[in-house]
Amino acid sequence: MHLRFAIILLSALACACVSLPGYDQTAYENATSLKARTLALVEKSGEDNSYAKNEDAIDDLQVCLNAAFEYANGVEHNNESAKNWRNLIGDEGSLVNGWLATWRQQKNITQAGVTENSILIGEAFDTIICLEANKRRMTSCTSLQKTDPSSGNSYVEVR
Amino acid sequence: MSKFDKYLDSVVAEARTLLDSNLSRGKKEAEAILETHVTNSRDRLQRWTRLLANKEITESEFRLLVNSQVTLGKMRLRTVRVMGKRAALDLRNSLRALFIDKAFEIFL
Repeated sequence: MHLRFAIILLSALACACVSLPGYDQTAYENATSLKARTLALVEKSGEDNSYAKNEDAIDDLQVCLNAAFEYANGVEHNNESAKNWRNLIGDEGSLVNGWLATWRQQKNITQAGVTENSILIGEAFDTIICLEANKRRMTSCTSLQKTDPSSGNSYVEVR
Repeated sequence: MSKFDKYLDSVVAEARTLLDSNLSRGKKEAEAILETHVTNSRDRLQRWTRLLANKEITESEFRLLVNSQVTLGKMRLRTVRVMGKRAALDLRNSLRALFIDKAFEIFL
């Protein structure tokens, strides 16, 4: 019985073909710094006719976000991370480009829309940051386990 | 009892503990992330519907928020998948160390 269990363990060791890229400090820093810059611009999208006033800052942010995506996409075995970046900034169905398209179309976002987009885009960046942190070691990412304060549920803290 | 039997017994005993602790930790954390996402999705949909009805957000914004919440779910599933890979790699490394350490402890 023990021998069988040991053989199974040895087999698991021998063919443990799980591929995970190493932790990347640059990717981590890209996500944390771009989160702050993006959320600062989300706040501005609530001002009157703000799209036209911030076009230079929007172009600059898009260049930086695309560079971060290209960086993640260029790392071997980094599919999950690259796909998350694509969901964040890939096309008009992505979180950031969806918000930018709505902002451009409406010229400004409503105040409630700013609050809600800020939560969602912040969480999307947190999801990318959590993924990167878990490449190094198992991390619980408490920011992804917080329910909305308005829901009446207490915040879930693991560990 | 031969030394090899003793080796196998001690490796198997500790490997079972490693298996339980590694897998249950990864599972617990993945579940917490996904359960929070489901709770938030329900609460947010109610809140956004109320905001739309009160004309505090536009129809385009409502559509954007719902699409973004769905996309966020896909992103979280990928992050949970990476947590699973991390747990598997940690388990592999721990088992490898266990096999080697026990061999030194018992045979030398």
